[in-house]
Amino acid sequence: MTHQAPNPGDPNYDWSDPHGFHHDAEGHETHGHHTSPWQLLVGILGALLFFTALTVWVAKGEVWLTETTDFPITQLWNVLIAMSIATIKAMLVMMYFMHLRHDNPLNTWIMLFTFLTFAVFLTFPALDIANRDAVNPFKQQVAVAGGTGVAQKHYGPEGDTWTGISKVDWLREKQIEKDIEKYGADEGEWQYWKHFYDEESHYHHHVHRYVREDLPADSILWDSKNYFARWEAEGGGHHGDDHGGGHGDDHTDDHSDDHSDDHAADEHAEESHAEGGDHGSGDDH
Amino acid sequence: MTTIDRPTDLPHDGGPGGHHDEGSYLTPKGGFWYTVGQWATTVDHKKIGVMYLTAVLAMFFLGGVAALLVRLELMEPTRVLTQTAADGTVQTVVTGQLGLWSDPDNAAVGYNGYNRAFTLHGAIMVFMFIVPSIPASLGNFFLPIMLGAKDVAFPRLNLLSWYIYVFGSIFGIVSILMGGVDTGWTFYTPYSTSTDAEHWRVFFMVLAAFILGFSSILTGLNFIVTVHKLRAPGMGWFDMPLFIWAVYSTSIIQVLATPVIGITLLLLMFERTMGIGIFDPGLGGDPVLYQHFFWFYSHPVVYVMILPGFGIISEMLSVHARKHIFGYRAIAFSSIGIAAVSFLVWGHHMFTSMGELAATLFSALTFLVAIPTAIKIFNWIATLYKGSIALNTPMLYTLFFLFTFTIGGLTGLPLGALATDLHLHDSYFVVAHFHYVMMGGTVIAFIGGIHHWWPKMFGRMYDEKWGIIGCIIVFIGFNLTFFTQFMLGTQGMPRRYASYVDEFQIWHQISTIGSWILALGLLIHLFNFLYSLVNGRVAPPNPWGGLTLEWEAESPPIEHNFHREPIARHGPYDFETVVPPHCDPEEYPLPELPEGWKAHEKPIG
Amino acid sequence: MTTIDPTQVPELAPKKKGMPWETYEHGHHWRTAEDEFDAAKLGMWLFLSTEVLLFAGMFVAYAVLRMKHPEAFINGSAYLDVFYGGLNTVVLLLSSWTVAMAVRCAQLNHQRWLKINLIITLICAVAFFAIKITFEYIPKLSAGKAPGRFFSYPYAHDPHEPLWWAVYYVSTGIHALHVIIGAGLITWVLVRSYMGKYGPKNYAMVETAGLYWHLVDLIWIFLFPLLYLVH
Repeated sequence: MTHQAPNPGDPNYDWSDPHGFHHDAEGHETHGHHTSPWQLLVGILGALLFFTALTVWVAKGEVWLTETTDFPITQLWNVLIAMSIATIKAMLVMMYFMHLRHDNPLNTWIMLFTFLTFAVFLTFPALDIANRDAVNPFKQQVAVAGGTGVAQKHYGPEGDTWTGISKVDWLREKQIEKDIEKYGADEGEWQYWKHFYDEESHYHHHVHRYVREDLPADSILWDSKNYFARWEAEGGGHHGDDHGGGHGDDHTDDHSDDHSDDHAADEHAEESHAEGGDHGSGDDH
Repeated sequence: MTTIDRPTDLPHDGGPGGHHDEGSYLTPKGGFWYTVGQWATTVDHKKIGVMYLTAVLAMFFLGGVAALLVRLELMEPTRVLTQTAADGTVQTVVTGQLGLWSDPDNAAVGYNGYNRAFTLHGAIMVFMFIVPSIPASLGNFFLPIMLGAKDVAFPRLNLLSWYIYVFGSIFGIVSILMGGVDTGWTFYTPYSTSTDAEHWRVFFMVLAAFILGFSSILTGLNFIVTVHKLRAPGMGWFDMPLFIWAVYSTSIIQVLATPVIGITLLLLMFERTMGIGIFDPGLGGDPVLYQHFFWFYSHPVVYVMILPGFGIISEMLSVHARKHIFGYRAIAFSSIGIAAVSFLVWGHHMFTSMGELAATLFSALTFLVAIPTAIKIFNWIATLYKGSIALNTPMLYTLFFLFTFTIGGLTGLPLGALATDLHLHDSYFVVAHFHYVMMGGTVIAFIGGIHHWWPKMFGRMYDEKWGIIGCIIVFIGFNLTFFTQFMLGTQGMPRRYASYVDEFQIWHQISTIGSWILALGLLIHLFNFLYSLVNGRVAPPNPWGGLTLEWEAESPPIEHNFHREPIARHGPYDFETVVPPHCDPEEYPLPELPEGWKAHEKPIG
Repeated sequence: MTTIDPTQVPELAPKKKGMPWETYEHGHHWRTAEDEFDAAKLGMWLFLSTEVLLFAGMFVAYAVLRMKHPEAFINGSAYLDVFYGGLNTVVLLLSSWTVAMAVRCAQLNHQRWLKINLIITLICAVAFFAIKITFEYIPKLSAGKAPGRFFSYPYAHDPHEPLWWAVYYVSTGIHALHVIIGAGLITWVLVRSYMGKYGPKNYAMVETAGLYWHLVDLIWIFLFPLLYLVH
């Protein structure tokens, strides 16, 4: 710190401010009790609301671009754009609502050091986990950074179960078993996958992009065999596409509560079909 | 020297009456229970400092007992003897385990007991003793006085932090009473999330560490604001005693690093109770991420442990050698430098668990720590040169510190280098290095600091002869205990093992015997202190001829520390130009200045 | 024997008259009220920096896990409703604005509007919570989209989706805890403002409680795009 402490021997020494923090060289108050004009505060609120709308709109635009053009917006850009807008918003809040603009600069320094610390904290673990195989590539085969997701043991309401498959797979198998018990062998499995694709088209808006091609070897969708075609043939794929490519805001979670309301779900899907447009089912990627 | 006419109509002056009529802060104002109530609700930083001192020393005792048990177990290797009886039945007998926790039929029972003992030792010593030790006790007591302030910036917050400390420690003790924890003080996943699943004791120990973090944060925050806002008139940043610089750097680390252990331990508690999977590879999480989180806090925190020790050494060295500290600014900035570098090197605790790229980076960064640390050591040694050294207990402890801390620091280098670390990691070499730095650094500085400031805190002189005897015994015991562990480590003795091959036994035995000598030395100090409280010589206000502001106060200080708000008229180490307050000028003659030289009004550098 | 001038000894000086904020005496260990005010703000900013670093842990966990399992985060985020997330953002921004206005009112001695602004802030806090619980937590939890071992949603795609829910619940949960603490602080300030404690000469508490509330807003500004706008 380059700050020069005043000398108490000085006749102009201010005893109520022994370190000269409150005054600049000319003796004016440098910070402290700044009152923000209300017009400014309203303006900042407006800007914050604008940037909130912007970030939502940009995210939807990115989805639309990715789905309809050959110019997919990758995750990196998704994060970068969203975080840039969030940073602008945060700066506005800190500078004006939290008065950093007119406050002791020390408080700004504290925040800057905090964010610097945060950056260090973020960089090294990410660097490590992304580059476990950087020096010895053979390690990639034996060490899966971040874990495999395949648990040896699942904790459930019925107690711990030793399975050797991922929890998601395990839950799916149990649900299919339940459905088979309820609807019979063939019909049970169909019921499961119908519900699966209903959920998917409900929440994900577009059906999983790997559904036709490029299925990764470990994708659970291999199990669905030809149920997807049947589901599409029954009109499931046209659910809710009339909103122009965005995530629907009007959905509620009525589908997912319980499996016993299948009929209600069917009706819902058909209604949507009746009013739905004729966009593709999101399988164009 | 500048003479200062000081206006008397200041609002903080306490009026013309000042604080002349006040008794010392230790003087009871009423009956026993009234006094207890006064202490329990006090916002006086001195009383809080004394309460902290008592509490951390109690924790030191608990952790020390656990350490003695660990050493005792290692006196002999565990042997499982099998014997076939005449009728063909096979009998197994386990020997060499501590009767306290062993089962002659089952060696695993004894191993378990050992695991709990060393975890107990680590967790208590780290979270409940050494992190709060110097800043919360001596720091609380002396930081405001050395700044010339009446109290810390937020006195009530200070009391709150003390109660949070007690509250957290209670959880730790509950966990011990429930049977103890065997995860090691680092709580590494998946061990800490998957063992003892039916018990809550690991949860409670983690919760204890979590709560203690808040205490640490509040103390650090309080100190930073105090240093910024409550320095005496005339005291610029570079007129502050180096102890303040050290505690200030410590506080920065506490504020920036401790919240990360908060979220880490919170995630660990969620992991244990709900299995959220962030550290569980079975759900896609990463156990090494836990290590990153943990060491992001726990590496900077070893500087929380050692930096205040550095500060104490700077004070003691300069006062008891009666010489201006060499390289004031270098020492001050190296404290800040250590605080800054401390956030960049945590990976050296996990070289073998992370990828080579990050390990290489961390290894290179680790060597940066050596620079500011070496700057300090060299400056201290240069201070001693041509000083008039008084070989009393604080000075002996300072020399002790320089010796052991240098060994501790230098043995850190092979551990920071990747290639040698592969051989030495998780061995007794690490244990020895750590203890040379923490015990030989922090604890030694702490004990020396208590001796140095004991007259000021309680108004009584400890017995110098017994202090010196205790110091020598501690020195012998310490080196016997831990130097042998370097030998063990280089030969391949892994840490945290309850047993070992027979070839190591002689080293383990020396180490265990050393631990008894060490304990004896510490007990001598304890009794010396307690005796001085009852029967000690009444201490003058400035027994050592110190120049920092605490020596201007009474011994022990009055409630508001000073009769009048002090002014920093001289630097904290201007022994060559200033007669110490309350001291006889004949007893402290100023050195003759060479022809044509002038005394400095401000410290050089 | 020293003679004591009663006007010079704080304990003996006659009590000043006026509103509590006008007669406010700063702590005896401070030189000036100005120092005390500055220190209160400095302390709060330091505390905020610890809060930021507390959340930093969640952000780092988020970043690392999303880096390793991007599909899980894309799939998981699709279950969230941008509408309610956005609504909550607006609610928090609005409350942040009212707090900033409350500080302004205290500075200008607009006692009535000080209270009104604080009450609006409290209403926003309750609204945030109500929206979060009714439209987000309850439907999701009842569908089985719960963290860790409580996860029982059978229609998930990616083996790492439980992890997404862990990140979602822990980060929003800790944030919600801060909303509660912040609301508590605002309530405290509101009660004391009814006692006339705050005015141009003493509004440190309004300012610091306000700073804390803005932090809650700040964290949400980052959490919202990270949780709701992933694709």
